[in-house]
Amino acid sequence: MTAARRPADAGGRPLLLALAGLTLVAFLISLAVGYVRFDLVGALEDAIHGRDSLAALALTELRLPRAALGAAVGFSLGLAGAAMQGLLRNPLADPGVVGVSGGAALGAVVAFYSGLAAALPLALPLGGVAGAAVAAIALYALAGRGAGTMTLILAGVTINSFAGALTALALNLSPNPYAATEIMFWLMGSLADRSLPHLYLAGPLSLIGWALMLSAAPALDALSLGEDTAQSLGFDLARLRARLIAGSALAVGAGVAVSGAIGFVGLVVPHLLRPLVGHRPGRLLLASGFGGAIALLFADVAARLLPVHPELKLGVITALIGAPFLFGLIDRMRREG
Amino acid sequence: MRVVVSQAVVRFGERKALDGVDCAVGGGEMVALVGPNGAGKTTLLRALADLQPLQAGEARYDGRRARELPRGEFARRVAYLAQGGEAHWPLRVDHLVALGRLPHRRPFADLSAADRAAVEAALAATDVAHLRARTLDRLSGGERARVLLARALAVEAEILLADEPAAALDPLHQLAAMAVLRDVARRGAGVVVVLHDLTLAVRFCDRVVALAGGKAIADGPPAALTDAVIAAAYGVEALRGEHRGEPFLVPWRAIGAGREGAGG
Repeated sequence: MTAARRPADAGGRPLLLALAGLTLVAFLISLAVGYVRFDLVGALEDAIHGRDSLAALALTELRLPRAALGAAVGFSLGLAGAAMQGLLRNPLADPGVVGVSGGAALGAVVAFYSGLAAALPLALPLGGVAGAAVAAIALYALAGRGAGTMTLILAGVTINSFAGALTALALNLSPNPYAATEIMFWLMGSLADRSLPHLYLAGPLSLIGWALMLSAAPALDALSLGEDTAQSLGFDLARLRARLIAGSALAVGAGVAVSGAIGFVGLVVPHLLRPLVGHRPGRLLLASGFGGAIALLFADVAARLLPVHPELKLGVITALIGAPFLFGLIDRMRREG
Repeated sequence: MRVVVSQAVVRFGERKALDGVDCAVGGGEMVALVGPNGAGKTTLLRALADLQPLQAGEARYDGRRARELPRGEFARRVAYLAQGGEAHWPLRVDHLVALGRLPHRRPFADLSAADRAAVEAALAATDVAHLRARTLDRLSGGERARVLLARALAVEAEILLADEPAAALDPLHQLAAMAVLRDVARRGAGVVVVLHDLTLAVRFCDRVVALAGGKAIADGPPAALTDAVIAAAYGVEALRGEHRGEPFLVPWRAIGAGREGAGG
């Protein structure tokens, strides 16, 4: 067996190592960039030795949660986008499309609106997770066992519209203009002023979601040949759908809850990386997770470096880049198809 | 493995796609499934593959139901090639064919030597080895059909169910694909192939099952495809003959058109 006869391993370990390395670089840059200037190495030493210097506090209380959440939320969005595109076999799908992001945003808005978020800070993230879970369960109830891709997309559209309407209703009825403003800002998405407890809440749920989605890689590869063929290759499609819906609800729900609605990462990143993995949906998952982390970390660094005050919201930046990208993508698909 | 579908009934709304059909295939046997459009050929093939829920009747695999076999084992033993095969992403040819090895692989493990040998054999058998590094969107329809057939061959299953594997192929590759399938049967697997080409069916298959209106109207050696069966199924007359000891059958003209011709 010569090397030449082996199928070339497009998008194998070298690509994943490069993306993981780039994620680390982006993470370190995110730690180093901010409004408080300090010596990063010195701050790290202080933090490790337990010295409560200002620099160490800025590092552990401000920079670290922000960078870690950026990486985690970006990973969730990129991975969930790739997973949804693989499941729906549609390059335009992302967590927003199937209604999970919308449900998460609604859940968090309800927490705002009910005043729970004011009474208990963690009610906001919990509301987001609950909203994503409700959206995912509604999606599953609508699309059900054995339903086709079209049903799933229509169910996602329905849930998104309903969640959007309820969110607008909450804003509409809000008696307190400050609460409405707060909701508006939160919906724009940001990583600013997040703390380690946010990470502790979102982290474990995200990890479970990642594991569920990554374990679906072989099934997604098989699914690129259609549902009958995937089933004939030994994959249970109902279980695959359940696994991907639950996985994306956990990861995206937890992410949206702490960062607000950040769109387009799950759409753009898988699209850019797909050619590098030979268009294989299974290989795309992990690559897309790292790609999402890199994209969100750099977008968040840009938010802090841009000479715009108040700081641009992260969701605004990703939308400003992502929407024209989506436009171009649709235009190209229209001309090709 | 012996697959037996008995008294299968499948309804799509009012229409009965299958209306009490019996069909069986065993190792070493090549069976053609023929019949006009909408006769229930694909539905029966999907029933044989345990992809089609039956409203009545059942499918048995060596006497057992599919759900009594572990999912992975079933996938290794029964391969299915869908009609007009689709691939939703422009995968590379060798990557696509390797998907046929998924039932044999532990998740996330690399291709084993046996996997690679099966992929190579399948690429060679369907004459697409030279296209291995191309992506699917750079192939013609016929080349794509051969690649998808290679994917099904790569499973190396005991039962191979193929839905119109020859439909998009040029004459050379039609003959080659049928020879490959017959070779698979000669080496011990059971092969069921949906065909529109009666000439290929009669020449290459050991047994022909003719469907019409959801019922099996003939099941036997190629000779079972009598003029009466062909007339009932397709409404055509066939031309028959023999060339070097092999029978051939060519659909010749519509029965109605023949009468008009006689009158004029």
